[in-house]
Amino acid sequence: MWVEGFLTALQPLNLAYLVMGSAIGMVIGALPGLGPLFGVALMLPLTFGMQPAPAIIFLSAVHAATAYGDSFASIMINTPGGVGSVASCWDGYPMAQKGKAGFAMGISTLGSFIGGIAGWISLVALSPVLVWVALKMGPAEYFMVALMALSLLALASGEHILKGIFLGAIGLLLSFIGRDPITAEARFTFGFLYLEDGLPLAAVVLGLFALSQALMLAGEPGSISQFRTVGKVWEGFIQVLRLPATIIRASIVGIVMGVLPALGLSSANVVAYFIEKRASKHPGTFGQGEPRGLLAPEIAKNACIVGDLIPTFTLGIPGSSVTAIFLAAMIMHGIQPGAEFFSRSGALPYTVFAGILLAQISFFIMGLLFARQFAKAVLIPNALLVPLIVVLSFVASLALRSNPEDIVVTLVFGVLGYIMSRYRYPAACLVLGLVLGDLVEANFHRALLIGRGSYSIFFTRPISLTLFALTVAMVAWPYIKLIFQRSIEAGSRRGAPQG
Amino acid sequence: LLESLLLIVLGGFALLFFISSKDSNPTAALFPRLVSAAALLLLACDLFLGGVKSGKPPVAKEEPETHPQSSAWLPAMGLQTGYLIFIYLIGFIPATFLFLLAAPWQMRYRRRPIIALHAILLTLAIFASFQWLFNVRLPKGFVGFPW
Repeated sequence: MWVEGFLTALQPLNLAYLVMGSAIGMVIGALPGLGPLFGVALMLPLTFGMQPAPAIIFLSAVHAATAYGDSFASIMINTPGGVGSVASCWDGYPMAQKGKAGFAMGISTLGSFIGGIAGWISLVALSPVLVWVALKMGPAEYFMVALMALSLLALASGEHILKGIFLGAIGLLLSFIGRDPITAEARFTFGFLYLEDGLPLAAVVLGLFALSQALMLAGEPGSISQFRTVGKVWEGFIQVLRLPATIIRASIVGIVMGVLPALGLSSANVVAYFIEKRASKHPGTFGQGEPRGLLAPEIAKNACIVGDLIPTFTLGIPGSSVTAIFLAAMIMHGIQPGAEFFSRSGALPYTVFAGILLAQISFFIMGLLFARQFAKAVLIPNALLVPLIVVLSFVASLALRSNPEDIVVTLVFGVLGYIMSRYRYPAACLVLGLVLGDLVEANFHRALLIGRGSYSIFFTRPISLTLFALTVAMVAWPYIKLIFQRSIEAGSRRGAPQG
Repeated sequence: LLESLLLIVLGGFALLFFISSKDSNPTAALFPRLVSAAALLLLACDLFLGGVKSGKPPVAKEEPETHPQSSAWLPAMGLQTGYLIFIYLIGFIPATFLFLLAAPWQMRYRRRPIIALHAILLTLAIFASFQWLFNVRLPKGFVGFPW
């Protein structure tokens, strides 16, 4: 079956769709704020007239390449291409500023490829086990995982832990605007009809990251890179191969987060970054262009985006909004995912899996060919780059809903994002709160319903309690450490001879 | 001043949510009320700890040194607001073209042929890719020009 699947996927027409999907995905991914959701949704209608196998192969290529392309904007202009690339900015952009954009692109290209392959192996080999783990998680556990992801992001932001958690809470509040997920009642709209659908995520992200970055660059002459060089892509490849422990850690994070429905993409990159920082002997180098700080989120993101397909294929439950579109595409083409996906569809599932693997290879080859060219964006004078960022932000805000009011939202959050960046507030916490809001609230209410209104359900289930204890310990640890250090210092001062 | 303004806006926002949650039914209001209360508490803790650390009132903090032209964002912001107004007035494509001509000039870039070429090529690329290829409905503005 596998041989048959690969032979079908390698037919010339399918390969042509693969290359086309990768090229389109890379371009869409490189645009600030436009991620896999936009790419796959936009390309879905194009597959209407196709046979099932080429259609899914084409969408797989768009899916994988958009996730990879997302990192371009993160590295070049400090703007996440999508929510999955937030952590890639933290060390990718400092590298670009130091004249190492090509080096960063090399890390991103090979890291994304390795992550994609790790995700694919898990998809093929570990699906049943991972799905079993995911099914053990109830609403209380999902609530705690989301809480943990928010806290981890705040911790990753360095000295502003409280501010990070505060911004996460503000992000959650912003996500409450619109319809309540349980009662469907419109709330916090303040009389604006526009707010009944909630705040548009893309417009908020574009404002907070892209427009704020444009405002920052407006005051800086020259170009992003302080040097007239972008470094070598192949040096980034070699650097990746020197970090096997990072590869393993980030792959595991990406795969595990990918299996958890709805949490994956937005959290995987942040969690992987944080774990890598904790594992490092020199955590102080993170945020200043540390290769591991870029490699870990890149691997986790791509492993997660393929791992995200596991519940989609095996249970017929989409793990995210992107995989929901994937699921719709499969059903549209007569493929029924779920428990009988493998037993009733002949060689088609194997063709789809082969297509997903080939999609990773396809974007990797394209990355090899074009990464250095993309990296040269950091040499463009800011006076030309800033208007480009502004125009792309505005048009990307419009692209999803064609509503000009979304641009107003982008502009407002642009100013907020600028002030946050200037005072080093971790704006990413606000975005993660906004992304996870619906999920957190829905699971909070579900858990309370299961627990018959008692909050004890969050603390009596072993997994939920463990996750809660871990979160509290991680948030409290920096403060406890500080108190210990101060008491030791005070003790040594008292013990020192006076005079 | 800017940081204080940010904290006032965000704190005020959390307070507004806390008060507005009384208008919703108990199920829809429960979680927002908890989160807004937690947000206000976190803000208070942060301000208190900030005040304790510096030994001064917690509001005023010195500005980071990383931005050589810290006021340059205001004219840039003004131009972006103007761009938005022009989108509503004359439509996305002509407003984009005008913005692409004006923005580099405002940033003291004076190579006119490059500015013109940049504006023309980028406007055409946006028009071709988003209007034709992606079929995005770009605003035509109140004037309603046929582009």
